[in-house]
Amino acid sequence: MADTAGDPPLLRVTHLKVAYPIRSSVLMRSIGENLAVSDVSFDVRAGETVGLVGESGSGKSTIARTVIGLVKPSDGDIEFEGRSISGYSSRRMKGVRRDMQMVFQDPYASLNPRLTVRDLIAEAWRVHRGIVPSNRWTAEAKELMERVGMNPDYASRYPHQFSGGQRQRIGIARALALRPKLIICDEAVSALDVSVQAQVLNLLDDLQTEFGLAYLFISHDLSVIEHLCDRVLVLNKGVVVEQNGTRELFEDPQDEYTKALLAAVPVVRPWLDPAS
Amino acid sequence: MALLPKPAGSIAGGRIIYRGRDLAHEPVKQVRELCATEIAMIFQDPLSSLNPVFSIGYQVAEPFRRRQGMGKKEAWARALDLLKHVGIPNAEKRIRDYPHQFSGGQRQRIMIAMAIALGPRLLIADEPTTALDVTVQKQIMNLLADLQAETGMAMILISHDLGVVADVAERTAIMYAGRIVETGTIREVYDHPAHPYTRGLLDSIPSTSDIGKRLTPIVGSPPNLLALPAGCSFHPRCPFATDICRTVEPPLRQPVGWLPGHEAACHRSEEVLAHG
Amino acid sequence: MCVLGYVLRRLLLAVFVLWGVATVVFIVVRMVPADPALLIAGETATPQQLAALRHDMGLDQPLILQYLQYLGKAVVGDFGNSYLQSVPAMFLIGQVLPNTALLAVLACALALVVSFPLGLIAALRVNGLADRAVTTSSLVVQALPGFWVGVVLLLIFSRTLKWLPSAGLTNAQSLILPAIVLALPFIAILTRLTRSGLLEVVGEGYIQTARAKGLAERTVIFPHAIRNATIPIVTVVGLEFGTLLGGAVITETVFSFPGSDGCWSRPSRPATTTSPRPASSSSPSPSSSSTCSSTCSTPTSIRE
Ligand SMILES: Nc1ncnc2c1ncn2[C@@H]1O[C@H](COP(=O)(O)OP(=O)(O)O)[C@@H](O)[C@H]1O
Ligand code: SF4
Ligand SMILES: [Mg+2]
Repeated sequence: MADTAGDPPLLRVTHLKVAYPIRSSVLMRSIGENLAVSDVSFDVRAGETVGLVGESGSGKSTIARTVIGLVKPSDGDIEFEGRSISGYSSRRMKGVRRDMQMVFQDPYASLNPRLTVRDLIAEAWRVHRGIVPSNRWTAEAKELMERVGMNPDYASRYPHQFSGGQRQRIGIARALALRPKLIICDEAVSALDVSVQAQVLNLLDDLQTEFGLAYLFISHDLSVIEHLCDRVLVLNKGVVVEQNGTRELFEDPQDEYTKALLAAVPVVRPWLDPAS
Repeated sequence: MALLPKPAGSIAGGRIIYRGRDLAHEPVKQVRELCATEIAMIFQDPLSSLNPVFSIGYQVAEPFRRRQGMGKKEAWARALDLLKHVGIPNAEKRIRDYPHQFSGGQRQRIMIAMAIALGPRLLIADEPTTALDVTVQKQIMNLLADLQAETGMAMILISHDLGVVADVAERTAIMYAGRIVETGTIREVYDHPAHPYTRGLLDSIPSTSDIGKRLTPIVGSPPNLLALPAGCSFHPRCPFATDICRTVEPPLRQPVGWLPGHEAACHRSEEVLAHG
Repeated sequence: MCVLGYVLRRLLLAVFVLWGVATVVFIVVRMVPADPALLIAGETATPQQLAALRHDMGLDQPLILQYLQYLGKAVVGDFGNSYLQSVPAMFLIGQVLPNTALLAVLACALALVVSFPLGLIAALRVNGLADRAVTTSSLVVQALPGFWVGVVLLLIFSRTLKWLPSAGLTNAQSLILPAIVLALPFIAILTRLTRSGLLEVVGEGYIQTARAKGLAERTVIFPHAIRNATIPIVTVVGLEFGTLLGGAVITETVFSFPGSDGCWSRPSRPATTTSPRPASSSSPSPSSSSTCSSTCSTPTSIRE
């Protein structure tokens, strides 16, 4: 995808390679490596949604973790707003994290059970000083709760007092607290009931329009990807086998693996499908 | 199948009629005798459903040995045939392997081999593909369909995915908050949902026709089963709800003017159908 | 092949562990303020005698040299002489360890044989009368101090009923009481472990599968549940065997049994409590302490 406007994309990943060391059990010495991602390149522009699909173990989460700096790449480069961040120290990475947030699959495991919703959201402001003055934390947190469709009166409740869909909203509110430019959603709606999943997808859509967010959206669910994303990368065993605009890719898949993947998706009303 | 954990759960009422016998009122021991020979079951997570400390050959041969008193040699030979039949590659070599040495799809195949060993008349499949990738899901569903065509067994397919059910099943029962809210042939129910919940589910699924548009989710979240709303338990989320819905629990009934065999538990099915 | 590699790796690891233990023992012994030379020579020794003794024992050399010598000798199985008896330490241990080990093995076997059915009964009738009886009594038994139980059993079976001998190792019968006393807390632990292990396994998916196959409940438990439930039991038995050896020493004291306990009880000197050896707790602890160091550190308070 050539950058016609001339300014750099929000996120550019070039020739990314990530290998997890295989350690021997005696001395924890590395005795080999498990190549989770090899030679992956893609761009995410401001306000755009890029989908990452693939079967389990294909390396989707690894890419997400590498972009956000939780895993070190073995090779390749990650640029954020034109600056190469792959060699950043964790202190410098902290500055980047302001603009780049993550929402996880499991809304149960990713929220500290001992913090109230207000504290969970305000945590980001405690870490990144000077964005919101501390006397505004409660008011701002309530505003964010309202923004993601939660009752702000529940600000002093704990995560376990909410349903799965509500918790995912808390996760999203927390990610929004710093007004990021990019949110990485790793299977963010996969654990939710279809009816609730639709609510969260609508919310993500609204937030994108309102704040001009870009999403790197990871899912194994092709129908969700098709609904939400502008462009899609299909990942198989750590390699991007195909990337294209969503419509083009779904209507005219080129790669054999993509074709197999698309053909395997169950159709709700097979009798309407001209193909079968 | 009398598998309810004993102290925690028991049948509080109702009947389970299998070939004229009421299994709900028979002692556990008698019901278990029907297991595998008449009724068999496969489960969601094939890894935890297989005993990790026995080889798969032992586990598949077990029904023959313990239920039919077959000798070890003969039982293992039968197990080998079954494993080949469900598509375990290299079955002669792998029969001595342990469950963890197989992939998720292969484990589910092993479970299926075990379930069909004694030629049951009814197979209950509880979310058989939920833990699997889409391509593997397709293979497993095809295998189940083939086996059914071959043996003529009946199948109860339990799933949260309307698409998975659509391909294989003829009739469906939609459940909400512990009750069946709608039943009928798949086509009738999917094309003309008579219950607002079924309708909401179908509308929530992202599909090709609404790409880029907003999804129409069901508002609210699933109820707490310990504190179900009075009357119709769906009323807090139902766009069709009226006063009667808050007080009177609707029985399953055939909507006036629609095909027999299609029933819904809703006071206002006729209006719901008219809207579609 | 795979198993062999695993064993080799474990053995390699064991070498490091032993080295670590030896080093810690060396450091602890040097850090204790008591001077071994002073202990042996007595309070009345002249400074010249002490200096000579220190020279004999190599205590006047630089610490690092002492350490290297100590390691070098330990590698070839020479653990020096006992500071108390001037006999090679290995000789003392070799003399008595077999008896201690015999007692421990016996207790271990007894514990397994008794605890398994108890745990099984408790698990099969969860919260039933049998379960509550087993669970409660296992807690009580574990809380009783071993030496007290020993004395009580002695009073009952040897003094009053005169069924069993009260002291020494004369015949097989004299092993019975010590083995029981040693096994009791272990029985309590294993019973509860068997019970909880089985209960956990019974909730697993594969047990549901076994039932769905229409297997008789007996077959569901044997072999399906049992084989899985024994995994933690084997692990704990392995870990606890060391503790059992340590516990054996206390029991031997009560029954005047010629086990490792004899190593330290013969010389009657007041200074045993400051003996430069790492102390170990007298109650069974879940850690697998080095058997030798825990065996050799009999809490003298019980004996005196
Ligand atoms: N922390 C880790 N250590 C070692 N290997 C890992 C780790 N996380 C993932 N992997 C391996 O990397 C590959 C890709 O995994 P992942 O990125 O989680 O895939 P996905 O998210 O697409 O399911 C897999 O082979 C997986 O086993
Ligand atoms: S009975 Fe009423 S509340 Fe219940 S589903 Fe029908 S219209 Fe909705
Ligand atoms: Mg993942």
